[in-house]
Amino acid sequence: MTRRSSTAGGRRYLALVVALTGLATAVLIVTDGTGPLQWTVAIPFLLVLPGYAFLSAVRPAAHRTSGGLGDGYEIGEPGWPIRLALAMALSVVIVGVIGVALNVTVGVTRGPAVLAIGSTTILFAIVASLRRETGAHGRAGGERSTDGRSASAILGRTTLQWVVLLIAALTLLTAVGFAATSPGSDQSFSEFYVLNETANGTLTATDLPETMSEGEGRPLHFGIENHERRQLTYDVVVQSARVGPGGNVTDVERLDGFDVAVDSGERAVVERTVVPTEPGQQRLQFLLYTDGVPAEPTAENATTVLHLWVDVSADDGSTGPVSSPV
Amino acid sequence: MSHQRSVRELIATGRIDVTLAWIGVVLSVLLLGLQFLAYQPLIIVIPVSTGTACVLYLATQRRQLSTLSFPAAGRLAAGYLPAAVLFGLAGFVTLVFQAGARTGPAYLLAGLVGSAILLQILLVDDEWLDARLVLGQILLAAVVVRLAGLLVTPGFVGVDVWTHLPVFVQGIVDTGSFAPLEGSKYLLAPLYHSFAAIGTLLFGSTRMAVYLTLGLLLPLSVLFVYGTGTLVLPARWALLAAALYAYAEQFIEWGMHIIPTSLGLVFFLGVFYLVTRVFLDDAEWWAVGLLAVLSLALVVTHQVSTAITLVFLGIAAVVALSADVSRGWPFSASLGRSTFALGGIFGVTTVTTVVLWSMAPHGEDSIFLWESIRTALRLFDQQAGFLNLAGGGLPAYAQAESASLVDLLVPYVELLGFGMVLCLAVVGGLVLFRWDRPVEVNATYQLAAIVFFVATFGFSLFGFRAFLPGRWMAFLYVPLVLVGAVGMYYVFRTASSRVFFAVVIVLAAGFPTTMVVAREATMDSPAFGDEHPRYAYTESEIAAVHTISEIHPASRDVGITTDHPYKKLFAPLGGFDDITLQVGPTEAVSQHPTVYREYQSTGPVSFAVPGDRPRTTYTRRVSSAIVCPPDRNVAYANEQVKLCTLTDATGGEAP
Repeated sequence: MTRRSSTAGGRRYLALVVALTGLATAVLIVTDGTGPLQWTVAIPFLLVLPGYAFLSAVRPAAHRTSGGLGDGYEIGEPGWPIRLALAMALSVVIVGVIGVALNVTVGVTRGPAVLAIGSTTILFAIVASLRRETGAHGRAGGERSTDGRSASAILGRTTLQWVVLLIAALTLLTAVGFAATSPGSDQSFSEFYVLNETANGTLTATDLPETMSEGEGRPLHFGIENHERRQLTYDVVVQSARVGPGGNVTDVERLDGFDVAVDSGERAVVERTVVPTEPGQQRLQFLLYTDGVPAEPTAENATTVLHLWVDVSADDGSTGPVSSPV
Repeated sequence: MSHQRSVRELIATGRIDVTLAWIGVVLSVLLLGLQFLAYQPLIIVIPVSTGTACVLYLATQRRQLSTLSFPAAGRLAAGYLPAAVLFGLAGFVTLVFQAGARTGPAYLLAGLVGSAILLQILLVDDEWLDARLVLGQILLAAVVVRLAGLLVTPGFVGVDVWTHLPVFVQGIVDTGSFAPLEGSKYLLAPLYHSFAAIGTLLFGSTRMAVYLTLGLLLPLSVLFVYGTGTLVLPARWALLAAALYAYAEQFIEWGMHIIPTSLGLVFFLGVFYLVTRVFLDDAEWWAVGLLAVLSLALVVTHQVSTAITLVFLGIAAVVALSADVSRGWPFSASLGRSTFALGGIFGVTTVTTVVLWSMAPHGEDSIFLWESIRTALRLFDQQAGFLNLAGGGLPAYAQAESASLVDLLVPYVELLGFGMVLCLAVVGGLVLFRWDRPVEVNATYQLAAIVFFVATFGFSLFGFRAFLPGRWMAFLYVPLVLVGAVGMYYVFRTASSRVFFAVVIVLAAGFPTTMVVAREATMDSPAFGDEHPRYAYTESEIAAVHTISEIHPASRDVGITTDHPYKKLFAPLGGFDDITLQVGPTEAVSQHPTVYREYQSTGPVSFAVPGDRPRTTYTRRVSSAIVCPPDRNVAYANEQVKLCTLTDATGGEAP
């Protein structure tokens, strides 16, 4: 390759770097969003262009070899694999340093970051172009290689081999496209929790009530978060249960029930007053259902269950029977 | 003086390699004896690999170098294997996205893809081997195997990443400053966080910003290995080194658990290439300049990576100086450009490191440098001791149940790939004594491999793990795969065709598959799920952490205790203390709220031993009733997770 043609080739690469940098800067400045368009331009903008421009400004001059090492071994200018690797590593360094500079000046925000990266990249490209202008730098040569062999390896393929390779590439692209457009994780679930209101009005699970009075209501707040990927009406059943010595439930009484509609991805917090009717130690059970309440709601057939142990005092202040929470 | 002369004579006549090979055989046999003193699969894998390599070398070292002819099927393989690789990757992507995770069949397919790549490298004749096409397949496979796993996994993969991204990086984005790094050692090493924060500003999501930039950079940085290989080897063997590294389990790990260590590894790969280049190109100024840039970039990225790189730069500088001295010994020694360049960069990087470490905070009242020294001394005092390996001393209920045959075999399956690389590297290391390349490069590679190996395994043998040996492994693989490629080249040139093809088949069939199923490469979805915990979380597990942190906020007195590694989410996301739940024979022991998740009943998570050894952990599957005894309130629940709080209504205290 002659000096003139290699310099022209290098200029074309630098012009491409400047054009891509300008395009990315414009897109990222003009559009506020963060969709596929912004991602497409942001990847080379952050990962390749700054480092490539910098490398072009500092890379060595003429291709040269050092012989005598055998096996076709030669040390030329770095080939494309190393240029790409260095460009990416240096891009991370440059962008990272720009972030540090922004931190001590105007702050790490989007507009200044885009302008700083864009202008730095173009500045490096200009320096690289000027250095080529002085005639000191030719286009990088191959690291060494099998390029000659590659030609025969490529041209020597049969038509069938080309067709199979093409079909394979299209299959991979289709699979990646399918994956890119798939919704990702499809886990659906609901969150359910019980809260108490503190003296300062905060809803928290750290200070749940431990005592109640027979016949007197005690407000509790129930939080439901819908991650089912569809709008849903939830049913909640509140029960009071006594637990026997073996841990079995001996007596269950329904205290309350309600339903609440929650949009997908939303949360609802419902305040209800729970009124125990019998004194003694008991377990308040809160059963959440996503597909309607069965005829006999139990902890076993609920979607999710919470429970809260309380000591309920009688009207006269005495305590009733004690459960066995074993 | 006479001793020096005899050593040089040995080198000149190639005898030192034979002597070392004999020593290697003896040491391997002796090392095998250690298995009677302690159980550790590496105590078997390492001596078997090194011993086999030494015997292979001794058996072939007198043979004349020749070139084997490739089989006639090579052209057919060159024609169709690239398509097979692409079909395999398409199948891998489909399987992963259909299952929502990387599963056993997907791992098997990824392994077969690696086999197809290795077969092209090792069996296709020069005339039909297209280096660019094979390199493209290596890069494509490396990217697809990692990114597919990352993109289907909710949240992040790994432990520390939950602090780096949601806390540090998102904090920088939210505040527009590095204030969230204050009090952290990363305040003076903010390059990773700075880059990720700017990426987040442009991508709108920390996760996508890191996955689509650093997540691509990591697998593509295998280009550095290929580039380094082409400086010292014919292209075919450079491709082999690149393929081995792309599939190395530790390199896969840092391509999925993307934290400052990962970026430090990328810079180290660049440093490795540039040091080689400085040696071979008589320290051209641009290579020296870029070496300085990447070395200093490492200092402001990650401390452990910096320490490892300093060791490597120190080795290179000492080797360069030694070579200069030996050439002019005794009167006319003069320092070459490489020596000045490498010595200068080593010196500048060391000084910069010491200065920054002596200023970097470590917690509220400590300085990173002094704290590191104190910790190292303390651990040396507490842990050091011959064969003081991890584990042991657990109460009966915490002892592992009797292991099945599969349980016993799994560690050896996972170490098979490492054993193969080690075997090739030992052969290559011996070959380097006779290698027709500059002695500085050969010696640097040999010493780097040895020193890194000792740092990774040698100190651990004596119970000293203060230097985080696990972090060295991915760095150790760099000299290992390059020297291993030299070893394979030597086998190709000296062994009989039957031996060579046997080695090729074993390597192609065994290496990629055992690497992709290894523990480190499958943190998101362990191939051996009964042995290794999952270091990734379901959506409901992640949602539970956020909601519990909100409704039951951390306070000085109240923490949240759960299994390891799930507790590692509550610390960064909820501000809770990092406490592993103590679980006794029948019940959890905790004065704090406990969190149960279904995975505790199915996966091998860890709990702490109750009593006075809270830092001692063991693996156990537990039922919901053990972590959440019936006398506790259940204040939060979703289908997989529940929060259980103490209540005075039932006596107030856990058993």
